[in-house]
Amino acid sequence: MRVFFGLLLGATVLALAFWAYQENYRTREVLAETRAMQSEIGHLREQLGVLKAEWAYLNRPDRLRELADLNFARLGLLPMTPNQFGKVSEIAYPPPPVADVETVEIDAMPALPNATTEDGLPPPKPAAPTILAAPAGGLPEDPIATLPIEEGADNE
Amino acid sequence: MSEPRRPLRPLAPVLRARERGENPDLIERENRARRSDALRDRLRRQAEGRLLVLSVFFIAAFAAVGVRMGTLATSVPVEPTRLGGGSQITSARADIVDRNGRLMATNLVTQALYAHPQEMVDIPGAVAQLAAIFPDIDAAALEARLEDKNRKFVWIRKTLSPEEIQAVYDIGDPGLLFASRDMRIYPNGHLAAHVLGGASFGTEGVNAAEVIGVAGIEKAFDDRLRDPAELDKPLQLSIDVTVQSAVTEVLEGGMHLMHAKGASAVIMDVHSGEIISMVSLPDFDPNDRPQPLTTGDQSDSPLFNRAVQGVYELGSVFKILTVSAALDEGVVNVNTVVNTQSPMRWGRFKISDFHNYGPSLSVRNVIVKSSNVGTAHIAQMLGGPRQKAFLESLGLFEPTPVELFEAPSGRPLLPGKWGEIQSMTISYGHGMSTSPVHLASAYSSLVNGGTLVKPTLLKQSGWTLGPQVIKPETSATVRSLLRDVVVKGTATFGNVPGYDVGGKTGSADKPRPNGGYYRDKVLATFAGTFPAHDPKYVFVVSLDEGYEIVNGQAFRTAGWTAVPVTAEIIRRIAPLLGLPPEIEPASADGVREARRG
Repeated sequence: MRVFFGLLLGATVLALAFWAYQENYRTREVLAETRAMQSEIGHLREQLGVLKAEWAYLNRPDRLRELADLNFARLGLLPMTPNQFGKVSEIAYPPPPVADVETVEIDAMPALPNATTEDGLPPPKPAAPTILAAPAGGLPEDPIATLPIEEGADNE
Repeated sequence: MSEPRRPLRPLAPVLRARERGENPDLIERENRARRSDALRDRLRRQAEGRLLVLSVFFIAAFAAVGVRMGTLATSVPVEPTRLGGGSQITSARADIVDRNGRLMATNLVTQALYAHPQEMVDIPGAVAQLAAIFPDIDAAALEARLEDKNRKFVWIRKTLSPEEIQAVYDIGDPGLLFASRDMRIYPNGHLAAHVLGGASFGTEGVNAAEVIGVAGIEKAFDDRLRDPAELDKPLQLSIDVTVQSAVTEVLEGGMHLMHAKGASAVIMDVHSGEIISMVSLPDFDPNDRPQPLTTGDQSDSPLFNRAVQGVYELGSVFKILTVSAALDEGVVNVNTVVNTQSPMRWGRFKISDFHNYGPSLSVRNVIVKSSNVGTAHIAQMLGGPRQKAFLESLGLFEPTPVELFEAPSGRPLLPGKWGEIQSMTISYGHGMSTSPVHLASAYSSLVNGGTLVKPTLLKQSGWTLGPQVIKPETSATVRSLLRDVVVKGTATFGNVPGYDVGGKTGSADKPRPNGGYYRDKVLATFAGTFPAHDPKYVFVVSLDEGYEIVNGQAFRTAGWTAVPVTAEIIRRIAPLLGLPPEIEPASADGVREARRG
């Protein structure tokens, strides 16, 4: 019996020693990982600071003003002026959505004539479809494709 | 042990035993046994002592382990961190942002260059190559320092760009070494230079260097910016970078057009006292802060903040202060007719107007036409003590509480004795010097309904309602007076359609250093508010020694110089401040007419 207990104790001590050894090494590994991660965080923070500084530098008002001047032909940007303020009432009432003729019956739209804008005027009529007449040779499949492309909109 | 050693065979007992016919060997055996007993006792005592010492040692060792385990088990786990090589220099510094969170000052990591001369291979060659990289370096002096046998350590450059670092690496001298640094940068360059001030290095080491503020808000808030607990929280200013940039651009243009040698502008929120924009020209780049002047007038240095440090006799812009005190005390109302016969004589002094405005004017017209004589008479009616107390209540006797390191140096200059003549000259802005920020906060207090505001450079969370300095009705009257100056008085160039500007001009002859005044040097100031019917912002714009030539004649008064510049500033910044143009409410006109009649 004593021998058995002795062996059992010895085995327990061995097992515990093995476990402690493993824990020790895992702790060291985690510590090293933490250090690496902390130094990575530090580097990333540093980079973030550089990027923030660069963003602020590139967005400094002097530079933006110069860029706006250089690209005036393309962008036409000017300092803000008082007359650029608008009021909500100055915006045209949005045209009602163009109804799909094939699916909506005329009786189904009685509410429209009652609608008025803030000025008390009837709402503007929806813009007439741009394709008034079918070009010679019959209506193509896709009407948009035949819309004239504005030439020279880009020739600054 | 001290007892004498007993012989094994003592002669006397042996002889006695022989006589008795006994064996003397017995005596010897007995003695031997006694001796060995003594020896045994001694060894046992020794062994017991050793065991005791050993057990104490073991108990102590196990107790130590046990206590350590106990403390580890009961203590809060902390993440182990690497100590920074024993260096105690902290280089961290919080950012500074504007009221909309745009970055105004931040830190960048960079490298400093130093040398260990004893490790250098080729000092003359390295110095020649360094001089090629840094053209501003004094090569001869550097070489002398490196060749000095007593030196083991030489700083060469405080900050390096990445390209310069590479170029120094390419020299390849083992004695040239790099030290890591945090460097303060101001991405907006000159913008708001006087507000920010600047930073430089304090204690320097190889691992880090302290970054300390040297002027402006950087120095005033040095402790806050370096506080480790608040490093992540940027310091938010009341300055708006966009507005600041527009004001600087317009003011710079105006300064050159008007041939002025300096200019300043302050835009302040009338309710909170927040300074939205503070410009002083000429300015400097805080990234490369110039050295202070060693000779001449410090106020000509670009480092000088005219808006805060500069105390000037601001001239007629002061008239509204004395007049509003007189209105508030009920001494006069806007229609009271005052004597404006020019020149006015008081003892050996003579007060005269820019033009002769006839024998008398109403108080309203005294302000609109800016009559010195009329204001002096109003000051006489009000009396010196009441005038003094009123100006003091506006905070004009103390340096401004603005959070700048330089603010305490902007102490107003007051007359030694507040007699009647001083009271009269101060009523039209001579004999007392204040800074533009003083004036801006005084105007804010007058037009915002009469509550005192304190100028501040930090973003406030809302309005601060200070003590009442004048009645709300008086404040409304003051607004209408200021508006009239722009509509039909000395500041007609200041009218900006839609923004209802109200203000007062001031053209003060500059005092000579040794007494008297220059005839041809004028500090032109335009101070006022917009929109006048419901003030949001107060402005104070000054041009130093500006003039405009029209038809071959030089005009120096503020109406010709500071006012048009201010109008352009308002035209530019009002949309940026989110103020839509509005038509002045007609009802306000009615109220004014009724009061007038």
